[in-house]
Formats: sequence, C-alpha cells, structure tokens
Amino acid sequence: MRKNWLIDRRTCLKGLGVALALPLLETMGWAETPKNSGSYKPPVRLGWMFMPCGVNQETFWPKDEKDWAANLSPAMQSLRPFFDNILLLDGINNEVGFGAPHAIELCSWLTAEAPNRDKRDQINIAPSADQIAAAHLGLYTALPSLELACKPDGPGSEIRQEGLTNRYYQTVSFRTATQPLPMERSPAEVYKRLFASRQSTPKKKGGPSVDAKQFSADGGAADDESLDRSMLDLVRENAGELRSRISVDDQHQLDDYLDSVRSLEKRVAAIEHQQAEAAKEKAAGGTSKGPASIQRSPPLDVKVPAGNVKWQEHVKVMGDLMILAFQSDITRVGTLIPSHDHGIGYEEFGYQNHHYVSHHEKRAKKDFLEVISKIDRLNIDLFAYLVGRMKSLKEGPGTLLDNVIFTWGAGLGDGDSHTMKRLPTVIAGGGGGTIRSGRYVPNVKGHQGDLLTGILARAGVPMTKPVGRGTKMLAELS
Amino acid sequence: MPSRDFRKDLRKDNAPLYQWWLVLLLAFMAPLAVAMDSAQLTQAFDTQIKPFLSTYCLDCHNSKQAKGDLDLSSFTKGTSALAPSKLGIWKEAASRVHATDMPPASKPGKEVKQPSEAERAQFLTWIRNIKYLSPKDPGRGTIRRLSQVEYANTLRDLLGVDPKVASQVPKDAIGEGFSSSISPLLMEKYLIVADEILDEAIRPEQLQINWKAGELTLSIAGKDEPGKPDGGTRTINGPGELLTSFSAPVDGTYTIKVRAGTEQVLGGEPTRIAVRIDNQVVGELKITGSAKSPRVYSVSCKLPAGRTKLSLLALNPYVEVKSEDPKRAPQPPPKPPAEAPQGKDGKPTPRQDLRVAVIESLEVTGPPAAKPSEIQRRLVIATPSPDLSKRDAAKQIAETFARRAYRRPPTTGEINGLLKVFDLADKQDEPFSSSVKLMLKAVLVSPAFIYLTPDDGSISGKNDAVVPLGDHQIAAKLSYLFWSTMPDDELSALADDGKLRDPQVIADQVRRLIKDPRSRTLFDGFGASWLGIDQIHAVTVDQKKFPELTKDLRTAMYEESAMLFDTILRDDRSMTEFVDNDYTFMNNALAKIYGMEDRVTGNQMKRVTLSDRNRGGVLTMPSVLLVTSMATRTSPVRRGAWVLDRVLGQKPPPPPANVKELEEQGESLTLNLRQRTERHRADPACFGCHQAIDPIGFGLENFDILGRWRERDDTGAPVDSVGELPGKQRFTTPGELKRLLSARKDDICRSLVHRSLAYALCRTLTGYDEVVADEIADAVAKDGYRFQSVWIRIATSYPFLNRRISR
Repeated sequence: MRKNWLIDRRTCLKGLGVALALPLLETMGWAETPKNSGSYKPPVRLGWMFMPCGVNQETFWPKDEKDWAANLSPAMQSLRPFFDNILLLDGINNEVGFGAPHAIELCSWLTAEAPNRDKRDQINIAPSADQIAAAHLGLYTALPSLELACKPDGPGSEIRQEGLTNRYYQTVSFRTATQPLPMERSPAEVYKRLFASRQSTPKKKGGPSVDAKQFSADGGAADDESLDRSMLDLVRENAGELRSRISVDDQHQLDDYLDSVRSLEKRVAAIEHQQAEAAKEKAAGGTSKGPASIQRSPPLDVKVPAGNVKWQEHVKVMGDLMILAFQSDITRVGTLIPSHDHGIGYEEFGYQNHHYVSHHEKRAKKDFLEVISKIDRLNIDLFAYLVGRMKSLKEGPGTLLDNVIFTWGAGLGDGDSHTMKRLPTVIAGGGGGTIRSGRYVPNVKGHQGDLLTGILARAGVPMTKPVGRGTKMLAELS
Repeated sequence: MPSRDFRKDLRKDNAPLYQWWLVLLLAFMAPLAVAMDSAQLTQAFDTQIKPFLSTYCLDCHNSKQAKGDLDLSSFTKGTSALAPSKLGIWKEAASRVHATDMPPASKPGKEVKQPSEAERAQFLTWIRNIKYLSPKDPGRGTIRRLSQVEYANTLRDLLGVDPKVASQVPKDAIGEGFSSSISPLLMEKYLIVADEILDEAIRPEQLQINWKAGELTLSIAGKDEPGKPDGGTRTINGPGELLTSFSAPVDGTYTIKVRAGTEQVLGGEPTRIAVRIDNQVVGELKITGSAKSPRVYSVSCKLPAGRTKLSLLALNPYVEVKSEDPKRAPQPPPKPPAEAPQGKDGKPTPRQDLRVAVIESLEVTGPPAAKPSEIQRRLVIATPSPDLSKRDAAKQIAETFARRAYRRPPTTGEINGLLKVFDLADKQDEPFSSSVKLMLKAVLVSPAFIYLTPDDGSISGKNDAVVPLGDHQIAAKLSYLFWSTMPDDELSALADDGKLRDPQVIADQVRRLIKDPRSRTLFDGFGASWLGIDQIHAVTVDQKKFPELTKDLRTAMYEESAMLFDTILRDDRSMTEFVDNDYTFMNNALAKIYGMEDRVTGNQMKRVTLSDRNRGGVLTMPSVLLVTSMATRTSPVRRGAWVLDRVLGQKPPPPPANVKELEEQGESLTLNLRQRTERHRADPACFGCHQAIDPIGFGLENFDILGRWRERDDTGAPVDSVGELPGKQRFTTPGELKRLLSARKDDICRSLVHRSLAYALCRTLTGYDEVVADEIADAVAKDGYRFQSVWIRIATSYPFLNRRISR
C-alpha cells in the first residue's frame, strides 16, 4: 500500500478508534450491535450542502482566530447557537487544472477531480466522495444514498462551456467515473421513496406442503427471497444472451444496467426487510428502530408540500427529509444542492442573478459585494436551520448532530476571479467523536480531496486511496 | 460531381438502379469528396495558411498576448497544425473568419488590415477540407436507452396507459450530451412503474385450487406425516390437522370446499372439523355422510391478498371429550391419551370410541372473477385450457408481448428466459394471472425494452467492422426520431418484410411520419431545445414588474414556436422562414403581447397573417425574447449571442475569465446604446466578439422581455435600433435586420442541419459526421432549403443507418 498519504496513522487511529484498521462491520454500530451490549455507537452519517459562485471572502470568514466565536462573521450569524458544533476550515483548495470554472464547480466539488479533457461530450470524471461512502455505508440501509436538489436541471440546454456536456451542470454525485446520478427534486417523490413499501410474494420453498417457518411470528418470510427479487435475478441472467451479440461499447452500457439491477435487488430486499422489521415492531408495540436501550426522539415531523413551494421552503423540506432519513437510518449519506451555477435569481434580493453579482470586478462593485454577502448569509441561514434540526433530535447520550459530518461548502472560493482556492467550508457535527469541532482553523494546507478523504475515513469507509487529487488525509479535522 | 447525381436519384422511383448507385457511391463518396489529402493539406499550410496567419492573426494570437486564450504562433508546420487535438481551433477559426468578425475591423487607435475575399476563401477552403482527414466512420454503435418522454410514450402505445404514469422517472433530453447510463434510481423507478401499471391492469381470474387430501401433510401431535403426490384420501383418526397453503391474489371472499365422510359415529355426536385460516377458525363442518358416500361441505370467508395457511382440524376426535362450544376455537389438539393402544406399526389403531373423518379432497375458490381490463384482454391473449397447457399459454403471451415491447422479434433465448420467470411463480401455485404478471413485469425491466437494441443479426467473428442496422432497428430509430415512441403497425410490417433498408422506402416513411400529428414530438425533443425554450416555465422573472407573465402566457409562447416549427416541417417550407416570414400563431393572451387583441380572441391558438414586418420568425418571438432576457430587463448581449449561435451557427466563445460581460454590469444601464458599443469597442478583449453580437442584440431592443413592442428601453431612453452588421450591412429596424439575416440562407441551413444531425445521432458531431452534415447541407440547399429534405437526408445517411462494432 502506498503510505505517503496516510500521514499520521496514529493520529487517525486515535481519532477514529479502530475505524481505519478494521473492516467495516466493527466500525458501525446501529443495527449491527448486539441489542443488549452497552458499548454500542450510533453510525456516522455524512451530509453535504452546496452553493455555487463562491462567497464574499471578506464577510464570510472570521477576522480573528481566537475570538472567532464571540465575533462571528456577518455570514455566519445564524450559526451562533451551534458555534461549539462547527468547524471552519479556511484554506482548502480544489485546483484540478481545468478552465471553465463554472462548468466544473459542481462536478469537481465532491470528486476533487476534473472532467476528462478528451471526452468532453460524455460524463467522464471520477466517483464522488458521497458515492464512495455510499458503496460501503449503504450496505446497511434501505437506501445507499440520497441526492437532492431544489432547482431544475442546469441553465436550459446549451451552456457547454469548454465543450463540456450539460450533464456536468446537473449533478454533484457520480457513482462511477461515467455514471452521473440524477438528483431528486420532488419532496413528495423523495418521501415516497424513503418510506417505500412493496407487496411482495415470498418465494416458497418446496411444493404445496407447508414450511411452518413462513408463518411464524418473527417472519422468516421477509428474509427469504421474494418473487420480485428472483425475477430480477433472472432478468440479469437473461441479459447475458443480449450481451453476447452487441459490441464492446454496447456491453459497457449494458454492464451499467446490470449493475443497477443488482442494486435494485438489494434495494427491494432492504425494503422488504424494513417492512418486516416495522411489522415486528408494531407487533411488539415499539415504534423506533435500533436497540431499545437507546433513547431517541420521535421521528422528525416533516410536512411534504403538495404543489410548488418557494425556494427557501423547498430547501428546508429537502433538508428535513435528509435528516429524517438519517434519523430513521434509511440512509447514511446525503447530498443537497439548493442551487447551481447560472441556476438562481434571488427573489429575496430583487431577482439578482447569483452569477451576475458574483462578478464584483476585483471588489470594485460594492453593491454587488453587498448582495453576495446577503446571498452567502441566506444560504448559511438555511444550513443553520438544518443543523438546528439535527441538534434537536436525541440519539443516545447526545444528539443526531453528534453523529453526523454535515459539510456546507461552495465550489469556488471567489466568483469573480473564479478561484478554486480558499473554498468556503463549514463542517457541522461531531462525526461520532471523530471531529474536533468548535474551532476556526485558518491557513489550512490541503486539497478538497484531502478533506473528503479525511471525512470518509472518519465515517468508517475503508480508504485504499485518496479521493480525487487528494494526496493525504486532512489532519485539521481532529 | 457524381454525388450530385446520387441526390437527384433520391427523388426518382428507379429503385434498383438507385440502390446500385448507392452502393457504389457510399463506397467512393468520401475519397472523391476529398479535395486535398493529408500531404496536400500539410503542404498548403506552409504555402498558404502560415502566411495568412502571420499577416492577419499573429498580431494578437501570439505566445505573448494569446488573445482569447489562443496562441497560433506555435504552429510552425502543417504537421503540428493538423494534430488531432488541435482541429477544434480551426473549426472555431473558420466560423469567425467566415463571419468576417476576425480579424476585427479595427483595434483601438488603428485600422486592422483585412484579408481579401480570395484570401478568406482560401483559408476557409483549407479548414473545411480538414475534416476529410477523418476516415469514413458511422460512429460507435452504442445501444441507447429510452428517454423519459420516449419511455412514457412507449408505455402509452404498448399498453394503452396514461403516459403520466412515467412522470416519476427523472427527466432527461435526447440529443447531444444524452447519457444512456442507468442509475439505480432510474432502475427502481422502472420497476415501480411496471408494478403500478400491471397491478392495475392485470386482474386475477377466479382462484381455484384443488388438492387431493393424500397430497397434504397431516400433523398429529406436532408430528408431520408428509403427503404423497399420488395420495388418495386422508383419514384423521386422531387429534390431527391437515395442512396446506395458498396465495390469495386479491382481497375478497373465498369458498373452501371439503369433500369428506365419517367412518364412526358413536354417541350420536357428528364428527366435527374446524376450517382454519392462519390458525384462526373460520368455520366448522359437521361431517354426516359416510366414508363410502362422501359429501361436500363448504365454508366462505373473507381473506386479504397474500399467502395464507389453510388447515382442517379434527375438533372432537374422542367420545370422552365433552361437547365443547364450537365457537370457542382455536384450540390446540389434545394430546393423545397415554393408554392409547398402539398398533404393530406404531400408529394408533382405530378404537371403538374414536370418530374418524375421511377427507377426500380440499378446494379453494374465489372471489368471483373481475371483468378483465382492456389492457388485460390485449396482453393475456391465451388462457390455459384442456388443450393448452399453462406454459404454452404463457409462451404465446410472452412471444406476442415481447415482439412489441422489444420492437423486434424476440430471440428464442429471450422467450425462454421469460418463461423461466413464469415458472418461478407458477411452481409455487400462484394463479396463472399472477405468474403472467411477473413475466410481463420482467419484460418491462428487461434491457431489450429499456434500450433500443439491435436485431438478432449475428456479428460474431466481426471485429472493428461497420455493420448495417437491421430493419427493425431502423424502424425503431425512425419512429423514436419523429414520434418519440415505438414503431406503429406500418413501420413494423415494413421491417418484418425486410423493406426498410431501401432509401426510397425510408424517405416515404419519413414523409408519412412527419405528416402525422405525432411528429409534434420533434419540436418538444429537438425544436424547443434548439430555440432554448424547453425550460421556458422555469425562467425566473420579476413577477412584480411583469405580472402579465402567467403560466398560460408562457404556454402560449411555447405553442407559438411549436406551431411555426410544425408548419415549416409539415408543409415542407424553406428553413429561412424560421428567421423571417409574415405569419404566426396566437391566442388572446399572446395577442395582447403583439398588440393585436382586436383581431384575436379566445383561448385557442390561431394562425394570423402579420402586416407588421418587424414581426414574424423566431428572432422576434416572445418565447425567444423571454428566455434571452434577465429577470428584470432585456439583455442585448444574450439576444445577439443567441442569434449568432442558434440561427447562424457561430457560437461566440465565453468571455475570457478575467473580463466581465460588460453588458451585464449594472452601470452600463445608465449608458445609451452608442456609449455601450463604444465601451466594447474600446476594449479589444471584448470587441472581437461584440462587434458581431452587439448590433444584433441592440437591433432587437424594440422588444421588452415579454416581446412587447416599445419605443423606450429599460432605462427610459429612446430605443435606437439602427446598426450595422460586419460587411457594412446597415439596418434601421428589427424587420430590416431580420431580412439581412434571412438572406444568409447557407449559414442558417448549415447550422440547423448540424444541430438536427447531432440530435438524430444523439451525439456531438465529430470527424466524419461533419463531412456528412456538410454534404447534407449542400444537398438541402439545392432542394430550396426545404425542411423535410433535411430529415429525409439524415434518415438515409450513412451514420444513421450503420454502426461500428468493436469487440
């Protein structure tokens, strides 16, 4: 194994317990921990929330390293109640060596990588950190991850800066280098998906005789393969015939499909399992999942709007849904993209287009800077709202917030110069004791890839190489 | 040129001769078309192009200045200039030099020397020949998945369902940049949609299951005595329970019939048997008939859908047992008395005081069958009967449905695969309809349904070869291109008869498909994104300033553009009418924007002849004027750039990273047109592009963001729409501007052909595609720029009808 990026293994082990050294199972503790063991730990959940076009660096960061919490910067006023739960990392860069910064600020944010220059008309980048995490943390949950957005896809159909396909403007999540994940925009659809149920017919063993276990109270049925799952299995098997008579390029497409069918089988199994668990709990009179000895709040109350909502309300309900999914352990990984480049004109500030005002001409245009500061603050306000929601939810001795790593950030440092240096990065949550929060760290030396690597490792994702162009694990997290 | 003859032949009916020509010409066309080969191009660079560059370009585009991020000084030899990675530079250069906005007419303080027409032409010829270096290649033959719209429409035509059922599937758009990738979310939605459709459509037939009692397990005192396949009757001669299970397809009332007799009745009390569902007693039977003449006893009960355990429990096997309250069930079977005499085989021997029930058979029926749905009648074309086994019926259903769903004949392997799915459910006694449903669901999540897949032509042994598409794939490509849905009966029949490889047949079909109202989807898929109005409902506008912009008005704006597109397409008119014409479409809401409310009333869109020559065509259409505006005001730069890009095919490069879009700056609003233009002129970094953009954009300033005519702009200053296009072409009104632009027929045609071909091939045009696009554009020009001609030539083009396979 290349060691150079694992800079301080001991630091990591201290911070993470045994997470890095041991396989996944031991690091996670929710459903997996024996019910009566006292030493159980809730799992770490990972959330990301994005803003395009950079910030007004002057009003964003604290002026003073020591008294930063007492003198919060204008942008962060709403984080005051949570200053002990946040970590400000000032100095992260995400330089990936590519022009057209607006085209790549979204796609490089969680990949810490640039699009492939030779294949600009297709998606060809790198798996994103949330999806690297989902591949591992998702094994335990009904949904591997959630990808949420609040604005329609991209700026109409034809920006294509530097010849890049528009798909780069549409998502932050890449399951593989070539597979972008669509973002969900309808709260109702997300809700439906979180609490999906299926009428499944269990696959029965043997003939008409009875396998009594199928009817026993603690239901062997749900853990047996259902007919739907067996059907999907056969569909996958049958696709082999088609595969044999298509070209190599076509086969790559088909492999993509087969992989998604395989995920769907797991997903159906997870839904069925979830349903069986819920039925069992209902029978037992309980309401919450997880070890009974752990004190937990009732599920977050989320009102899903029926029709169109204003942008701020949309962001809040999408965030609430993500938190609800974390709380009920339906997923452990979520991304929320309230707006993306060229995407939003702020009704709140006279329909000023975010991209337009971000070009403040080397700080010459004070009125633009003022609007940028307001936009920064509004976005942080929404983040703070969600942080507050997490803090209101009890989980064991602490709160949900103690067990998340919830990162707010922007894809550019400054929208005028298009720099990818000094990326705004606010991390909320304790990461199950792996994040040392309540700090403002100026002059951080590290790449976005280093940050993402550090976050993933702290959530127990076994990292064999750093994310994107990262070279190490960012030490400043703990 | 021979290729001209080929095009003329396209309209002749002399098919055999034509086909012969086609074969010959497809084989030789590319080499013939190359005016210069690689060596000549390299040489021409040294003798013609390099001097051109140093005279007209290197002043700005050198290693020190590199204006527009372009350094041409590194191209010292033809070989370096023609490196594959550099070809994009020349494409861009051609568009700028052709538009005569490069070299710029002047730089601050001095005039710039302009090339002669001949020099320009020589430069452009050289660049346009570069593409012929690309080998003839139809492009990668990737299978493509259906878009959201195509998926929805296909479900509509395949099953007769409302396409809204697919609205939960993530939206996407066909064309350049379309990704065939299938995410887990998409796959999940496919399964959910299949569930929803089939659960609603396939109503189960009446359930009827019959067991011989001997087949079933008899449980006595916790010990199971398994049934035998050939078992006859079952004698419950002790505290036993006869067990089975079945799957209730729907909630409803079911009847359980037991054919049974009794062998001993002592003490005057009849043998009683409880019928239990999931261990709950649902009824009690008093068996009075003798074992020799059994009778049928029945119980009815309501059951929820799902798997259910059914059992018959002997209630009073012993004389000694006091008469119980029959309602007080369930009760565990009493333990056998210790003193029960044992027979030689260890089984209890019948005693005088035992009651013995002899069960012959057990049957479950119910609930009365619902009337099959319309969809069900169409899909379930065979039902099992004494002459038709369940599996054969299923096979007929699979073959018929898969042929339509896969848009080609399914292979034997595919049918066998589907039957395996049927067996899966059938083997566990699911009702026939449920087993069929599972099989149909498998079709709807199969790759052959989700993707457009090739016919079953064997391509084994071929490597890196070009193969023609099969007939069924051509049928599907045509149908999805023009209708966004599966082929209809006529196309399918032509494919079945193997006639679709004939270009004349394809041309006839293209005309037929376009004539049909379903070709409206070509606007929704292609036209709307070409005009950039596909997201018109999402455009943010200051609602306080423009309360008129309702959802209905946005819809009317979109429809106006759609109807113009449809008219030019269906009536096969010249594409220049997109830029300038004297008619449009409007309803009362839109008429207010046009100031024609006295002429048009009512909600319906009507065709209107325009007397105002400033109107007519996409440049002055409210839809386009809206999407090229900012939230609070118009943007001449956006409008100008839009016209250059969408209409003339000269996409202006984005402004350099360190230069602002001057027009978008707030302070510029206080300046009038002349001042603004001067500012662009003053900065050479801006001027290169803006000398082409600004005049067009300012020429459209008479229209506000909703497309209403105005004499004063957003600052209150009088609109000055006088301008000059490169080449000293002056105009004083938007109408004159439009006529100047619509005269550039070849540019309009070339631009639209390139976009159309990219849409039809669903990829960004590269290499040989551009050769094809240019040839189509040339041919369409000869056809009077008629729009159908574009689509016919695309649908009969080499890259549309062939694919390269690599293995």
